[in-house]
Amino acid sequence: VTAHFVAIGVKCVLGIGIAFLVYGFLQKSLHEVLDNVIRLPEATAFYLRAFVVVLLFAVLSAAITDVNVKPDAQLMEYALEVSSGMSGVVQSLLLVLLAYVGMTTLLVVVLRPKNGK
Amino acid sequence: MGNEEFLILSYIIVAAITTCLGFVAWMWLRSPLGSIVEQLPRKGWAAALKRSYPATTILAALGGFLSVSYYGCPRESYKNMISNRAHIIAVSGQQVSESFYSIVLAVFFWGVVILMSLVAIQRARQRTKGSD
Repeated sequence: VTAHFVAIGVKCVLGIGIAFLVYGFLQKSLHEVLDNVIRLPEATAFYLRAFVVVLLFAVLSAAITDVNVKPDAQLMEYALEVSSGMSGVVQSLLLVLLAYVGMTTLLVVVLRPKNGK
Repeated sequence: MGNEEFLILSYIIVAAITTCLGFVAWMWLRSPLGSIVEQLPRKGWAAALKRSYPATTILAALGGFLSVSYYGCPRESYKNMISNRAHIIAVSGQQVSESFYSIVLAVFFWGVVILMSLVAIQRARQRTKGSD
């Protein structure tokens, strides 16, 4: 049971790391585009905070899944199980990212023409 | 501790954890969401949105938690189900996972609601500018 929890913990830590990496890469430009399009600081804060929530929660949702290894499994079996579990984490991150990019594009399309520039 | 006691304890703990997740999502987005909806032209609408936001995140978290069945498919008997502690732990994890997923969907939904609110705020501002 402890090894199962460790495997799930490793998936969570790796997933959170990737999520923060993605957030770090996109945060500045996202802040810029939202500020430019919405021109309401609270709305920019809302969308950036929502981005953090969806990234983290999607990653944790995919990471907290059962690890299918027998009780007498070797260390490498756990490692391989974790790496195969990470595919779900990355896929879920990708889906969230795609949905968020879609929503941001919608924001730009709907609000930009009326804001001038 | 017997498996039945373990099931009861884990059920209560996971229910509390998922409710807390709903609260975290609410608290994290509460202040920007509140400031945005306060600018809406119709004040009743703003109050309704503000009040329904925590309800949706907490209900989404609880909905995700409750959507996971312990019995599996094909349905096992209760005795079989509680005889396997690893199964109970796995289902608890699944409940937390479903809660996270439901909150993600709820936050996306609110992203769209805020988008529509921003359009309404923008239109109200343009009308005010036009009348000036």
